Amino acid sequence: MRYYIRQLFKTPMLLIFALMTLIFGFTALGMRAEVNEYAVVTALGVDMADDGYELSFLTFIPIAQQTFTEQYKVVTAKGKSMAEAIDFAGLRMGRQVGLSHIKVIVLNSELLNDDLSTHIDFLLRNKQISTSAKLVCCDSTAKEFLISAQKLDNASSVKISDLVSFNLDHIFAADSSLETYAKGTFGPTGVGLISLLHLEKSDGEGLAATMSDSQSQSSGQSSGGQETKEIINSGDTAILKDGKLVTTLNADQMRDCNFLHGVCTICSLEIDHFSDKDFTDATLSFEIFDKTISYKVVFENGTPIVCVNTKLSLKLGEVKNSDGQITKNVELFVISKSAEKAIEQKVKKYMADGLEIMRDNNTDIVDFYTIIHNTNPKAFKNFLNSLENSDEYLSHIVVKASVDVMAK
Amino acid sequence: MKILDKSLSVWQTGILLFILLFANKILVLPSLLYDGAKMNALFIPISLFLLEFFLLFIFYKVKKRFPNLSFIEILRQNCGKIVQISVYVLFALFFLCKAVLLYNVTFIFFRNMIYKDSGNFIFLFCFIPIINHMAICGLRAMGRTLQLFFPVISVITVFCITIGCFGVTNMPLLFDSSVSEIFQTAIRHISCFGDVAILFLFMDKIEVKKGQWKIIFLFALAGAFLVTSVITLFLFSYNYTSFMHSYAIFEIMNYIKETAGLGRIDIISMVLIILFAYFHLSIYLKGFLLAFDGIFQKNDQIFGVLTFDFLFVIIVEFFIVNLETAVVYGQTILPFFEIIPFVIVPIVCAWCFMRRRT
Repeated sequence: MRYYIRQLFKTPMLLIFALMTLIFGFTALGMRAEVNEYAVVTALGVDMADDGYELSFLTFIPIAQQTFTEQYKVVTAKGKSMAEAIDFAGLRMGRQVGLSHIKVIVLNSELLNDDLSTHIDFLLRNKQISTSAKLVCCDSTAKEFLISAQKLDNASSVKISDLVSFNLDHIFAADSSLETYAKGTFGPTGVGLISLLHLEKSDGEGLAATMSDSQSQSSGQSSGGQETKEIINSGDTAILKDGKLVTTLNADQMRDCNFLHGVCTICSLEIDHFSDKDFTDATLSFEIFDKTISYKVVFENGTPIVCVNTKLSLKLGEVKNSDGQITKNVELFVISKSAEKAIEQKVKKYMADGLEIMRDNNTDIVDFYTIIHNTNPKAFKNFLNSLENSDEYLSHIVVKASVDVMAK
Repeated sequence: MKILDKSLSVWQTGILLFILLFANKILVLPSLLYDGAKMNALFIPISLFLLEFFLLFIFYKVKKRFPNLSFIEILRQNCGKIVQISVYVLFALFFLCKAVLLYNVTFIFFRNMIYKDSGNFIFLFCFIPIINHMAICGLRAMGRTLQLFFPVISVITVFCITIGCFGVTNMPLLFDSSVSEIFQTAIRHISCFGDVAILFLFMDKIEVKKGQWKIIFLFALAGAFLVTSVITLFLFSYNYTSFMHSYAIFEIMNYIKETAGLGRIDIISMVLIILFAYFHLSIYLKGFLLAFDGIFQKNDQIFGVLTFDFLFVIIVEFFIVNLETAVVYGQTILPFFEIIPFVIVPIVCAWCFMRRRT
């Protein structure tokens, strides 16, 4: 024993180790379990209140049970600022509000009427909230939306965050998270996109969540009995410029814009009234597997000409022939010259429509600004200086589209 | 507490240099660089690493010219005792101040991310005994420990960078800032560079055989490349929002959290940060001890360690208490100390060369 004690004093690091173990060991014994200290918030709803904000928290409450379903509860609190509302929410829950697990932030569409950047400043600054949290807007109150989402989260494995995650790849929608919104708003174009979700009475279109009487009342509904509401993601997207709402685009309009954009690849393409040696007045639907877009910018007489080349890799998926069913093997379908031309025209039309939408609203969703600037910063600066209003550069640039079609 | 520093092999020196090149560069620096020079911040680490390599080249020349002499002896023989002591005082200050910056940034990172309720005292309690022990144990022991952890560090670094590559989604606006903005930002953040200077302090302990210099240069190149990669990936991943994300190596791992559903895999980068913090602080303390030894000519390192700990705790506890003051300190006070590696050391070395020739 004496040997070990002597060794201990000969080796100061061992002493320090023993000391640390004692101090931290006893400190740990006296600490509260984090489960009892934090309320895990998975979604946050923001509504305007009379004098500030009303925040709703979709909160996960850990309890021991033998099923795999998780128990969620919606807690709301009002405050002059978001920080104050969070403090009050903590008081109501008897726990600290843990924001680091937030996956969705739901904004009441009323917030879009003002400068949104001022409203979400707290969310952007807060180090606990991940900037990858999805940012969505709803046409009802955020509180009501979260009550529906709560049912959804409890009843199935589909989380509300999963519902908008698919937007990232889909041609009919736009990806919107705190990060993508901030990138767009702080970028040179100032354009930020936010997905719009709808909360509607059930008619079987979207994901349904049944609300009981008490929940309906708490969210300001007066209807009796049980009410089923659906959360619908139809691809509608709010377009904001410098934090202010410019317009709302529907799924078709988003598709038009996304055909000019490198993002979003999943979609199908339909050609009507197509006739060649195999088809007669047929409607052909193609599945697009890959969409690669490259941009080339040249300046002619000081005006930037953006050449957008779209390479589509597609496969024939569905045929509606007016002369009866096609008996050819569609797996071996080779896109004929005439079919290629028809696809090209269709895609070019989408692109032209997309450009028109952007020009009409003076919102550069594609970020042509960066593309042109990176090609020749000096020439682009001269071009902007030559314009009466440099903010309206989109109407003065020339966009040429070309489409390459490949069968998969 | 007398422990004689035994020699360091070329591999150990290379690994030490590799790890040291990450110091103060992979957490807050990339965000601050973007704040000053936008996307052109990419050129700043490249240009400052060129300066660092210039210093390494001077070291190579000095070591070749005086293979068995220590830097103290070289200075005494060629410049006199006063110059030697003055240079070593500056070296001691240099390493102390750099250690303070590094500790603060690391502490604030961990406090913001995980240990919200922990105070500075607990962190100091975790760091000081270990870095003291590592520095006192000597260069050989430190070199061997670095060799042991090097595979872990390099694998995690490469893993973080690989994950970071997936986060680059769009092309940001390039060439948006002027040359003067880039230059001013580079000067303001030069304090994160100049770590190669530590090699001068134990140059007599490094055993370099013929043809082995390339190992040191390769390790330095690899370190510089990885640091530049982290900064580049961070800037390309976050571009316009880079100023909102303060902790680069941790933030570039966020891609996984968003898409792959693997939960908090970004914690892997925390392992790297904590390993780096321990090694960097130990190396800085070792640099301080060698400089202290050069000033007072004491073989007993306990005085040096106690002096470092005392000054370190005072500065950390009372002067630089949050990220804001740490950033101000790093941007306004520390750049003046960079005169030591980038001006004084080259001038003194050039003087020694000229004296030797005459």
